[in-house]
Amino acid sequence: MDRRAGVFLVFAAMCLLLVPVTDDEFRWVPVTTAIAYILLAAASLLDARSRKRSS
Amino acid sequence: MSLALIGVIAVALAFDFVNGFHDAANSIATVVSTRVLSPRMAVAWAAFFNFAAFLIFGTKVATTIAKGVVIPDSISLGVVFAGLIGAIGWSLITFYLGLPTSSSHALVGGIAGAAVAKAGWHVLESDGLRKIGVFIVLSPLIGLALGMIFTVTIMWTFHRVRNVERLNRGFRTGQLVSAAAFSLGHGANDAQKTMGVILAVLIAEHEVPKTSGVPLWVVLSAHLAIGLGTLTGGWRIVKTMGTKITKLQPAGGVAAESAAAVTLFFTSAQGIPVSTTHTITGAIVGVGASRRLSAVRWGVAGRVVWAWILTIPGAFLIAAATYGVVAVFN
Repeated sequence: MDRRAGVFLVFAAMCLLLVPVTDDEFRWVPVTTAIAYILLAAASLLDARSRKRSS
Repeated sequence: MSLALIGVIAVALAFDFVNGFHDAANSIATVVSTRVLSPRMAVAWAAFFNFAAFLIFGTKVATTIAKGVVIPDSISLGVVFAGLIGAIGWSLITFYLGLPTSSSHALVGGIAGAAVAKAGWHVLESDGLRKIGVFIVLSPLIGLALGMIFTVTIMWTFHRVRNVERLNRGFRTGQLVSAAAFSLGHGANDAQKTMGVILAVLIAEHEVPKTSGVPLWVVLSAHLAIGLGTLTGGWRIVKTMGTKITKLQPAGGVAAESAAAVTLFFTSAQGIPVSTTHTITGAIVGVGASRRLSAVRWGVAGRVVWAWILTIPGAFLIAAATYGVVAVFN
């Protein structure tokens, strides 16, 4: 697997771990950040795949 | 107002001054390294926007520091003094060891340590501390994600432009705006921490009522102290965050500073004290990681994680020990 995507998934997991300890008022912040990292991981995977194909 | 109170307020403002002195490099590093401004002009630019932040942001962060770290009744002159010594002491130790410190976390740890030494663990405000703790981890992660998203957006938007020289000129001008925005965020979040400390001690000494907001003279003096700190020393310690973590081009500088500024605007508006240094570090890592992971010097990023773990306990212990000494003389 693409290393960068792996790192982003770790960051997403860290954000999700923070959700239960975050105040209700701010719970959307770690959730949104985790979603952003999952999307970035997906984009990174696609980027790595297209680089592999073109090389 | 007693002499002791004036002395503690002076120490708080000195802490704020040193914060400006130390953190100025974060705001101006990319502007200087890409030669948009000379070091002196860049420092003046950052100092102006540090000061101007008081016109835009409220004082919610100050209220969190004054009332959300420990129970206000546990705060006294001795607690605030010991807390500040804890924060300053920890900053000096980490400066000597070369660890990237966070004055914000040190201040929270210091006030908590001194208050616990005075009255026990029950004085800690668990809700406020939990909010601060969560955002210690989240703010660099938000900065990193935004730094990457902004970089990718810029790359997509301008990838067909052939005249790279002209494009870089455009981004150099854009850096003036992004550096100003980051300095506003820095002034807003960091100056308010000092305001919070001063408000706490004014309440403890019955100079203002418990329900009071931050007096205007406190707002102005805190912003003035951080602005003067930036103006006085910043350019001497520009070790360029931009080259320590990853090499930045003007477009990357715009993305990193904008990402950090957005994070600081949000946290300041919500009353959450965060580390401006860790936020811009996360944003710069995000810009580097948009190229490839190896473009980032992960050793520097790893040291930030160590600072997360060690700063609050370190400042806590120094402040608790200092309060022990203060209590003997009281």
